[in-house]
Amino acid sequence: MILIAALIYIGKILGGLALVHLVWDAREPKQLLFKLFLGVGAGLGLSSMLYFLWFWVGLPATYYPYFELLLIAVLLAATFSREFQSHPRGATVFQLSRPDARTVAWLVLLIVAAALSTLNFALYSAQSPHGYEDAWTIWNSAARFIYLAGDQWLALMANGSWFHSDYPVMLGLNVAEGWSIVGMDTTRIPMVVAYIFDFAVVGLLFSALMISKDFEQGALAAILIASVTQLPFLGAWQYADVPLSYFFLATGVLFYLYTLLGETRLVVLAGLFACLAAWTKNEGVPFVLLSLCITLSLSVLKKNNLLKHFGMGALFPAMVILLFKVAAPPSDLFVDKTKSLLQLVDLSRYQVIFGKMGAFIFSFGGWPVSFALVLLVYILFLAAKPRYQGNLWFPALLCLFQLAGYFVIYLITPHGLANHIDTSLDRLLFHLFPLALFTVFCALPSPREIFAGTPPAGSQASPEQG
Amino acid sequence: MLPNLFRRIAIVVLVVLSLSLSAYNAFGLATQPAGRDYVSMWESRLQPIKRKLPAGTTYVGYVADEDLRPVWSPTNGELVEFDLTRYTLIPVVVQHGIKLPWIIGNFSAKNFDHWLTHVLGAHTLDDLGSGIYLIHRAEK
Repeated sequence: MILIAALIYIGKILGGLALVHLVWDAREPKQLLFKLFLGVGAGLGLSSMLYFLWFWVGLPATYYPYFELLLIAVLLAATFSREFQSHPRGATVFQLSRPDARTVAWLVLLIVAAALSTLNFALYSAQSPHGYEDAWTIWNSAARFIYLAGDQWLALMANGSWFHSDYPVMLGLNVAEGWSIVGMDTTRIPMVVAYIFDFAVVGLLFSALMISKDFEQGALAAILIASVTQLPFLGAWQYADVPLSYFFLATGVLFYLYTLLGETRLVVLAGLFACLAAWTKNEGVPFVLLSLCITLSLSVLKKNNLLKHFGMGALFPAMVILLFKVAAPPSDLFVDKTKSLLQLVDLSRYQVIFGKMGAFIFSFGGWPVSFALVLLVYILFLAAKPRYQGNLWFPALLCLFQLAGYFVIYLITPHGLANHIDTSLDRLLFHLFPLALFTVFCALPSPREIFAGTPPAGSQASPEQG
Repeated sequence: MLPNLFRRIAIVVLVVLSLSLSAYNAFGLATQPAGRDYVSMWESRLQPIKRKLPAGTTYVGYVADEDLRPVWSPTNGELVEFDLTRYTLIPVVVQHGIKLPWIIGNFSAKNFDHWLTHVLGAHTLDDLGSGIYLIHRAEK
């Protein structure tokens, strides 16, 4: 069953990879690896949008997987056709050199970390095969309504038939499609979807740092994130927080790579992935606005109108999100605007939020020792000579302003403040964690630089020096 | 500026710490007794409801122990049971209250007859075991 479930999503990932490659045709092996992990989000994100539109126009759900299969085949055919036209001999695409002993050692460590993270995920999943509370009150509830109520689910969503029916349905649609293909609402499908995103977060961070720094820095950051307890347990709980962190990471990295490589097609992809974040969780909506601000700043800085590139990537997903928002019931966060405004000037709330944020950041990671403290010490040891290319301010600002956005949400929340923070802050911090880790490890010298004195093997094209 | 040796040690420590804590977590999970899968347990408990509800029923009501108290103040466990009932019965929509013709009762003791007759009037009651009841409001 797990194998069948995995096969369903491999098709989507390949379709996503093909689409990303059609937009950005970089061919270096490390870039292809990065694009493979981008393909996870593009594939699962866009497929769920098409599935939503399928329901929206009232087509029978049973035919959708055939349509999707056809679409993936067309995308792959278009990609291969373009590849053969631009590289008729098919050669010089890859030139893999023989790995040295250090690379092999890091690869082994990375595989061990990934295996341990997978084991943790499997053990947490065995404890709660249906996921944890939010999974069966929100995310899998949406999936079950989509799968079991058929074309009625949109009307039921509008009536608020499940808890937080206003939450986006990227996960729900992916799970429901898997269930409709295997013909039953087995727990294996949401488990596989969750694991794919867990794995993709690690893979995306690894491959992004491979491009930006070198293999060893990518491996080190990937080992670190795979070892943090939140990754397997939030995944096994089948919440949307890991997928959201994936989309935040993808968008931030794409902006950074634009400053590194100067290719405007990366901004097209940033627009797509920012909107897919908003399609995953409502926290993605302010992230889209922040990404727009980043694009605007980059446009000014580079004297190039990047908004049109961002818009090209964002147009289709933004339209689907708009359709969804029209159909969905309103959020319960903004029921009493006067009360929310008054809370903005209540200084005691600032005190509570700052205090809790400090405590949560200190205990973040689920380690017996404070992960934040360990990372801080590590940064102090290695930060004497930060050496990087490109402009790291953009991913850093995305993290900081998104965190500021969460701060404001806590200020205005109509729910009990302490309870709201206690039940959500560790997940909100996780949203930003992979992108923050990318930013930190991009700035720090890599193990190769420390051990061998070799400068980073990342791209040499450098519009800016850090 | 720190000597390079310290930096090398920092990298090694970070890797060793990461891997060992991840392994420690996995060991802790593997050796602790298996947790209870509440959703599967609740699904078994509500199987009779799924069988007995007439086909085509889209909405059902829900009453439970918390409704018997003078002030409605559900405990966390009672709220979770309501959420589990909602999840288990999808695509049927479960709404708290007694306004609908079919109502699910979830009571820890059979001390609700008098209350039910008072708030509902004439009704039929099907005891499905494990504290689960299917209540049908009589036609007026």
